[in-house]
Amino acid sequence: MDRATFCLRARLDAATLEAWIEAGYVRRELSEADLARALLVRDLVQDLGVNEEGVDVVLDLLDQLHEARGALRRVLALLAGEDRRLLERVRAALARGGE
Amino acid sequence: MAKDPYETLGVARTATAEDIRKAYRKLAKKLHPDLNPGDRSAEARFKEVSAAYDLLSDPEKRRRFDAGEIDAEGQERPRGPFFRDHATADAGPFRTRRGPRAARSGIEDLFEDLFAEREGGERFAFPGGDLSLRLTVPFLDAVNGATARVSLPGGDVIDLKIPPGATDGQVLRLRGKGLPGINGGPPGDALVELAVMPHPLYRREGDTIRYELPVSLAEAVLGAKVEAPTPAGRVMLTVPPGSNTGSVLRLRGRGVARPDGTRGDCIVTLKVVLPPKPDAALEQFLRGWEAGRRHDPRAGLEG
Repeated sequence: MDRATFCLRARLDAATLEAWIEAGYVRRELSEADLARALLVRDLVQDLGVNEEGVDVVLDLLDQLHEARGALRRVLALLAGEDRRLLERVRAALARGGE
Repeated sequence: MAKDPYETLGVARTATAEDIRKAYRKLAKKLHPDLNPGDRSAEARFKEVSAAYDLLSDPEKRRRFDAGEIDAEGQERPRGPFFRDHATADAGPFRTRRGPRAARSGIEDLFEDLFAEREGGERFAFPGGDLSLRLTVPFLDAVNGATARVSLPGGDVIDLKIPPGATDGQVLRLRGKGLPGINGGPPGDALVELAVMPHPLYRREGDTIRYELPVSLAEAVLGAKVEAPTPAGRVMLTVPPGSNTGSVLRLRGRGVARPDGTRGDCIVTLKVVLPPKPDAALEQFLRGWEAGRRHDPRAGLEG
């Protein structure tokens, strides 16, 4: 989407958007995913009291979390296609670990 | 449905703006959907908490809520889109660093996806969330049924049919008018809770309408035909001779509309009203009225 639309939907001013692109919070392509990410950064900064350094840390950890979830999802999808019983056992083992 | 916002945030009604901000911050850190990618229930709680904060962080809204002028649930501000819904669907990576470490919790949902897929469900599709709205309805619109124009937070404007006899607190479900589905899931519903306003004259008990109709002394004593309002329009009402304050007259089928097209009754209680200024002729009559002196309206008052 174009910058004006993006700013409107994310409730940001143009200067802040530019700063966030520079900081790498948001990519220049300004997709729906970037919008969702901008809204997250806005919540972090405005509502949750996270400062600029903190935003970097949070985004970095979140990206790692999503990568890990993606990797696990792929592993589980593979297992689901191969061996349902093993999948059940993995689920049970993970449920125990979460207690 | 409308929870007390103070309770939602866990603060006292006397809490300062700073207390409220801190309480919200604490809860939002725990509940923000993007910080809980594996927990769908966090989203609902987060919305509740943000709605409560929206209300209490605005001094004017808070004052009006405390004064009872507005309800806890104003039009709910839809939150999102959340980044977590894009993090996997979006192919372009936000970071270039390699080396993911395995997450140790919050992955139970990944299994749900797999099992849903096996049972023929859409892969990773979730239905959209429901949207809660509150609509204030004039008393007579609820009694008689009406069509109300409702603007949804997404920008849609729809004509909502309020059924005849709708009650305060009734929830109307608008299918598919809630938040959009995720990854091809069906949209959620909009749930509209009706808040029926009180009426200056009528009171409602189920499908019965009650009110007090003033009549003059002459109409009460001598009997009369008077025009009386009802929710179904004005009717001519026969006041029998010798009526009194507290006499009850039933107007059949003039009360609250029912879904089957019939109506409950309208029950009118008469109230004898004397002329605003004492009338010389009336005073003179009463002075010479022997039977009136013997009548004791307080006889038997204490059993």
